[in-house]
Amino acid sequence: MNTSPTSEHKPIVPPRKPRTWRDHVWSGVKWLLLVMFLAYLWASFVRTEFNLYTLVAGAKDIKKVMLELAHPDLSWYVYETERVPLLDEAGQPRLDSEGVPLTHAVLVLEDGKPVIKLDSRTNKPKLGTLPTLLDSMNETVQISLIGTLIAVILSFPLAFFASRNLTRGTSTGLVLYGATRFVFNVLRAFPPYILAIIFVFMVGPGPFPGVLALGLHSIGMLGKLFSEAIESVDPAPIEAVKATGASNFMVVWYGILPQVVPQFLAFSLYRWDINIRMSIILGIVGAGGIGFLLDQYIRMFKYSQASTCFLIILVAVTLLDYASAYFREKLG
Amino acid sequence: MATPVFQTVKLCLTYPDGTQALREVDFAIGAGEVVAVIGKSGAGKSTLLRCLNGLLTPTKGEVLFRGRPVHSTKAHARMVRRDVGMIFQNFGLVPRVSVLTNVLIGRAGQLPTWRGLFFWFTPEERQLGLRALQRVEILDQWQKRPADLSGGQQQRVAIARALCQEPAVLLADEPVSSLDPATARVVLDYAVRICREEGIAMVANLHSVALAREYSDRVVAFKDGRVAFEGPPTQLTDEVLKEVYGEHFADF
Ligand SMILES: Nc1ncnc2c1ncn2[C@@H]1O[C@H](COP(=O)(O)OP(=O)(O)OP(=O)(O)O)[C@@H](O)[C@H]1O
Ligand SMILES: [Mg+2]
Repeated sequence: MNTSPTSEHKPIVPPRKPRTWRDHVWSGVKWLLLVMFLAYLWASFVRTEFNLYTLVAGAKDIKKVMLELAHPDLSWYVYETERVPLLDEAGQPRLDSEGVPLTHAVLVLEDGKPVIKLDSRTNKPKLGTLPTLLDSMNETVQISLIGTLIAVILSFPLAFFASRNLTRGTSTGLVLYGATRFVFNVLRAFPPYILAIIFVFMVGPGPFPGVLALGLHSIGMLGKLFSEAIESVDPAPIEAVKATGASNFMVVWYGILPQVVPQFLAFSLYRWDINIRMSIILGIVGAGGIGFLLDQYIRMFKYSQASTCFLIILVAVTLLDYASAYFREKLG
Repeated sequence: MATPVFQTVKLCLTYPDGTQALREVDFAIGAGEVVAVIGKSGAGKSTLLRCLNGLLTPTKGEVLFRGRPVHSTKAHARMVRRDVGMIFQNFGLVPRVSVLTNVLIGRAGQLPTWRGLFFWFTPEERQLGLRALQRVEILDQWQKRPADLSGGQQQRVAIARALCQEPAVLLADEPVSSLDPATARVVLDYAVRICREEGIAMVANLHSVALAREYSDRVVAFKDGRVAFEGPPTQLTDEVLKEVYGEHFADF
């Protein structure tokens, strides 16, 4: 290289490796891939019928629905029939022993003989939309809680096998790594929605198939996140614990676990957060919770009840979001 | 000399990428001896220490611990490690657990798995850990997390962890390289003094020739994976240092 004083004013050209034919082919491939990606992007806009005009035009049709949605049904009690009390001779309403007006005459069998009796049953209030929906929102939260818990418990031990830094070196390790990674990928590949449909077939509708679907899918998700956390730990404590003569298990337990536990907890909370919303969707295929009722209401055009659903979901998800964010911050 | 604690016989180690880190090293350390290992960066000092306690397996040659080969089986290498403490340049403390727990992790090799699982240590083990902390004079910090300690204090915790193993040898891989000169002396003082008092042998890789001279009974200098010099610190002349560190060496 020329190092004479005059060369100081010349721009510095950093040394480069000469380009081989491989480099040329590779850069050609990269350009081709970029062009193909852009073409695909364009095709995707076309395929999804992305069109702002349709959106604006459709807005006026939805006005009625919106109006009903703006009036959520917040009744705590509902009455099945109109309350017309039966009157006695004095023109006063007849009351049963609890003081509820008697409204109906019913035919019942007493010692084998038909007897006419007065009844107040239909006049007693039944629980309305709000308590029903609060209860099924609670079920949704419980489905997501158990689903997440099961996933955490199962993916925790598996994640160690799916970490490259722990399985490197031995052939058994490599096989375990490949196998667990494969399992995680398969589980992640099935959308929880599909899993829920399968499980509703298997165990019948209700919250249980929801738990199974969320649990299985979350194993794949959490397993991946957990193992990535394990792969990024500081190796220094691991070597130090190894140097004490500890067994492989103890090296993991003392050298790695304290490093990853806060992250594991944060990931689990985050997953729970996602699963709460996911389990609402799963209700639509019969996997329990508030989603099931929401779907029913929409199908039956009961928009004010559906509106109540949205309201409860909004409040519940917001509250749980804050709670989860708070705890994750505490852990971080 | 009785059976050396550690002895290597024509020890060779070649890394998978072909780097020959150790070439036919014959090295021995007697019980209670304090040996300083010096040499340029890349000379193979760290590799030697990791071969001694079986963290690395030599490609050729042998390491004997109290006359028995270390590398006969993996399980045996592990048994050897129980009796060999080690401290590192970057301390290797486990984050987010207390100082005392870190020290007790020194017992990890001896602990039955079911107790290790629950971080359950017996009162005797806790006493051992607390005594080790007392020896390096940071007993008052026992509840803190390692991250809340200074570098010097962290290395003292690491020394306490090694002591908790009740080792026959302490291997120190550049124990004070990340500390300021004053703290380096304090930390090395603790390590060497305790080793001498307890009759623990010590092998310390040191970057500072001055520290090697001051603290060791014997200096071993490595160059390109071979022993280039071996002898008492008094024989460590400028010619020797020039030979080990190259022409640009200036004694400081
Ligand atoms: N994991 C590894 N894979 C390949 N080569 C390695 C590895 N570790 C060390 N080496 C090489 O082996 C040689 C000896 O390294 P070693 O770490 O033992 O040197 P050192 O004397 O401890 O140096 P330093 O004073 O810088 O710590 C060096 O050339 C280094 O590049
Ligand atoms: Mg080194």
